[in-house]
Amino acid sequence: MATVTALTDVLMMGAQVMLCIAALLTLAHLLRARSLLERVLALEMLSAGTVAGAGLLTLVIGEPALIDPALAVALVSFAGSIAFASFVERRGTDD
Amino acid sequence: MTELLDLLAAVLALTGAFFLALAGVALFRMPDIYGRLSATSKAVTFGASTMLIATAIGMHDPGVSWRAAAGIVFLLLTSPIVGHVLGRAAWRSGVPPHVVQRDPFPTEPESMPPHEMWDARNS
Repeated sequence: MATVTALTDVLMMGAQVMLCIAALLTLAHLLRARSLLERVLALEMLSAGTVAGAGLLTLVIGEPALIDPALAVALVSFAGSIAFASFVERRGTDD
Repeated sequence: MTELLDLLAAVLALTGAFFLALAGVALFRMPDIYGRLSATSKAVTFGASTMLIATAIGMHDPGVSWRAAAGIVFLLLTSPIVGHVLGRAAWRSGVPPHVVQRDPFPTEPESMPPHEMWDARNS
């Protein structure tokens, strides 16, 4: 059982590293993007990464209350994306 | 038994994080915003949902599991809406889609392989 626990720890660490890679790639695209909609897409992805990261943090440090911010971030990012999209649509240009 | 459940949760967490990283790669590989929306919305939904499933399994707490399930349902409901709305905003504000035009009936055989032609057109 000690082997299983060690394997669990290694996999968990790999998940954290992978999530960091995803966040870094998304941040790089956020800085690289030319248009507003691409930035909105990158922010949406970043907030999804935050949801996943809050879930992972709940699992890693064992604090049950940390799952609530994940739901809050998902809600806020949905509202923000809809607002940005309707703004871009009403404005007519995307630059 | 608890150790095996934790191992399952770790495998699911690694899968979710891998798919989120894959969506980050898709941001760089796709040529325009329509391709990026199409690739990332699925990968992000799957990755975040898998991560929340891992949380629900690994915490051994019914309250956390219910909230994670609510988060998964919310993600599954809202992520297609966001993808559709962003794509519609891009289309209506006149973002041109990236189209590669090739002659469907070439009179002479093409001189270079398709990936080199792609590079020549897009450089």
